[in-house]
Amino acid sequence: MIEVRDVRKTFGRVQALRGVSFTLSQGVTGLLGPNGAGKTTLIRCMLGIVPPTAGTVELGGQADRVRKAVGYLPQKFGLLRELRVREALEYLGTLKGIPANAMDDAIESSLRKVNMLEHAQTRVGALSGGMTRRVGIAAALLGNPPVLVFDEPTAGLDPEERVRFKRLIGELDSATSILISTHIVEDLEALATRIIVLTSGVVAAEGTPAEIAGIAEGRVFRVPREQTHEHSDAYFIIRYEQHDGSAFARVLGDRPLAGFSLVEPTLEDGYLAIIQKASDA
Amino acid sequence: MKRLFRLQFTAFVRRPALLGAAAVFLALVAGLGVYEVILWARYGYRGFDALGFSTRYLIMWPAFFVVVSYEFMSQARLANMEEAVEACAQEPSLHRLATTLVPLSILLVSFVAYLSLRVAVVFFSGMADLLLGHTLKAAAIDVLAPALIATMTGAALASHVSRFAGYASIALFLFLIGPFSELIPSVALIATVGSGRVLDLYPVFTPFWILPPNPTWYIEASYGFPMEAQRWAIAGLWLSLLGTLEIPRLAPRPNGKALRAAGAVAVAAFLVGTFLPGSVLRHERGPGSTSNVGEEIYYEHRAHDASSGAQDAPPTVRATSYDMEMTVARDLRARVTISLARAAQPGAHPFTLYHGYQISRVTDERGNRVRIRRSGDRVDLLISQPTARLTFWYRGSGGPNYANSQGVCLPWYFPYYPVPGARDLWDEQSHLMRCEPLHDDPVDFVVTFRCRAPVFSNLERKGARHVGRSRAAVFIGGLVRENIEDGIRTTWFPASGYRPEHARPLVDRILHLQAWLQGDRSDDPISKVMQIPESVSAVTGCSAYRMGDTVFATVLEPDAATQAVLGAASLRADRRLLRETLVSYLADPERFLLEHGDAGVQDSMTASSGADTGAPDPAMMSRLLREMIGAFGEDAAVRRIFEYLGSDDPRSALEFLHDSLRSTRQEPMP
Repeated sequence: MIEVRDVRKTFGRVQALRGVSFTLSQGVTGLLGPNGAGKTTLIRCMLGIVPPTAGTVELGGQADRVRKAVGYLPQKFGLLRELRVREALEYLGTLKGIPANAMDDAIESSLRKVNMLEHAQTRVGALSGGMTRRVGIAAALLGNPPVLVFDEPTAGLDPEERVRFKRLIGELDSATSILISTHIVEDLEALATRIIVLTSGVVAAEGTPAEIAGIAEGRVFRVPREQTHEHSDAYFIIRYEQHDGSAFARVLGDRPLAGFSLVEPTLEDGYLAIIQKASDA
Repeated sequence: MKRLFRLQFTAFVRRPALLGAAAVFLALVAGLGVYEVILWARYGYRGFDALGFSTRYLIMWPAFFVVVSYEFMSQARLANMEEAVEACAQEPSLHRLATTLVPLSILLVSFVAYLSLRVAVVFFSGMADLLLGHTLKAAAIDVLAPALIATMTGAALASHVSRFAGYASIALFLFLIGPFSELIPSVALIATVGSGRVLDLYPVFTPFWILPPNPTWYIEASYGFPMEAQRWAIAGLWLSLLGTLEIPRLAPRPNGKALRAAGAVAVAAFLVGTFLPGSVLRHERGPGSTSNVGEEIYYEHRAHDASSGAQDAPPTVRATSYDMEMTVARDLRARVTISLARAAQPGAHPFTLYHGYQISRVTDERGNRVRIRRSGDRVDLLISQPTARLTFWYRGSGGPNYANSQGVCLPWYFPYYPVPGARDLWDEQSHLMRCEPLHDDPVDFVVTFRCRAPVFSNLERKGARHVGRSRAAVFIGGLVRENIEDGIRTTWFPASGYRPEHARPLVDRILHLQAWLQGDRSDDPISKVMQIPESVSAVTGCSAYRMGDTVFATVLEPDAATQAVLGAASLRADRRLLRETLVSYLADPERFLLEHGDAGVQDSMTASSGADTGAPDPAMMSRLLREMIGAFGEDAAVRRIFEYLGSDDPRSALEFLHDSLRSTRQEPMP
């Protein structure tokens, strides 16, 4: 269990994090936030890649245990193109401190989990973007760390790869603590047991997916598409959708107007409601 | 660590461009090394000449390593691998170290190959005792340090700079450390030297000169490869600076601050060391320049400055003895006490001391400070009460006449100690330093000379002191040895290829020539032969000189005898040419006569009717000399010319030759 307490990070005059606190416990925690919210900075502070300006990140009361306990897939991940997949993982495994006699098993196990075992002897430079991402996940899984941190893990992946990723996360040991940072809500809907929404360097909301969705309760409506031009300043269009063969717009607003029908909010609706509130503030 | 290095090395080997570049580089290193061995073994090159061959290509070391380290080490960044590495449990410094070790391992292999071949030359040339340490140090400062600096520069650029900016930075780095960068301060200096405000950009460029100076210039056998304290300081400056910048990446976090502080202290110390004045063997870095350029610029500038007082002034006092303490380290520090024949009376008394030495104080025998007025090489002492003994304290460096821990070149014409009278050291006609001895008459010397390098003088060594009576005290040090053989005390440079037994034929030839040319039958003995650095002939044009019982010569060969006998008869360009022509004749008369045709007297006289108005023509001079010999006979012709060269005859050399030849037509031949 990783404790993040009042973490602040300043770059010159820019306050990237303004006192972030939460607990990363077992299960999948989603870290949601728009671009520039401070998600990557928060993760980098958690892992000690950049030192926080203030605050603490501890595992079992010790800061130096965090790095050893975490398997990390950064937003931009790559390996030396000249190495074979097995060699590249061996390199990272050595840096992770995996003993030499356990290295082969660790590599094989993690490659099997990401379904890349048959590519173990392929040069990294010959892999597609999706395959490289899978190798990155395998690198994070090396040594079975109790905590996994994925920063925008599905960025650049095609739909099939995204499905594969979600399946993989679902198959991981339930005792593992997983933090998935993303701005794609859909990735978290079926996976996350807990959601943290970060906006402008602060935690704007925290709770289960249902609790986050509940924030938009009574504010999400379905509107016939042809009516969307009326009172457009009074609501925010979430997306267009088809329902019973007709075109509708799903909107977020404070009150229903004529022709509006109230619908059950989703996690995305709740997230957008939080973002909108934060930007209004 | 071993596994990380193996994998990084695998990545290196699998990049064809890098592997190919490394293979070509290693082949070049080995090829040049083998060629040096061949130069030595097959063509009989002397040690330094053979070893100096590859010096001109030394820039290939930093060029290769800055490119390879940048190219290789930027791969992790370009592949977006760094962040994953930084989050790993082990210190990311291990990754950094493993990456850096790849170019370093190539450096180690190529350096060992380079060193092995050089050491082989040193051993086989039989001078291991003299040159082994020197060669190892030279390899460290000329090759290892620049290559390390380049590797660290490449690594630093790889961490921060994109491809275009990276290669632009590398090009700038190579320009700054390369020989052509000197063109900028050199042009700036030459362009502004007459303007009254000299633009000296050398201090801006000096810290970048991690490579040795222009290697196309000869390598002084007494000095070897230049390794002055300043060069070590420059190397230390960059290594500590780049090391300090790298500390946050390499050092474990808790110790980083202390290491950075230590690095900052080292950088500051080396920076001071870089700019502290010191004596260096004056070698230009730019191609094709000579060691005399610095002096030319100084004295040309002085000529433009009317207030500099370049005129000669006769001595107002006569020195009878010198008691000197000379300490040589980075430069020369001196305490010189001059005893005067008669007390100097109140008033201004001119002395000469090379302008590169800064006088801290002058005192009289009572310890009272004497006021001084300094203008270039001239020092006027403003004495307020009768004074019989003067003591000078000063330190500094002597331009081309160096004195540092590596070598000493303080010859007979060079005022590294104060001499009564103001003498112009520079000959405007020849653009060379004058090479007459400092004193017209012998004076007594007691000199304590402290230097790390072995130092020898024309005086007698008594314990720690050099004592004797002479027209000048000469000190030569460095890769120098001394031996007494066949009654002659010979100081020589083993790396030049000469041996003490070469002194006797030279001495015999000098005595023979003097007897012939001067009718001197007194058998004035020669008991010392001192080989002198080639810098002396470069800055004075005088490659051999006899001063009393000592002969100074850049080469220990009988041919040098003519120069020694003719000495510094004149520095005027036309007289110099005549002297050189005569030297050429005396070295090999038959060959000279064969090479310079059979033109008749009338022909050359007609052809040269206006010769005295133009620049002296070597071909004409040779022909006239031949005609003189034809007209007067060898003995008479050579003697006449010798007398002319030693006289104050105002005629130019061509006028003298023409007049002499005309006289043979007007007067009947004897």
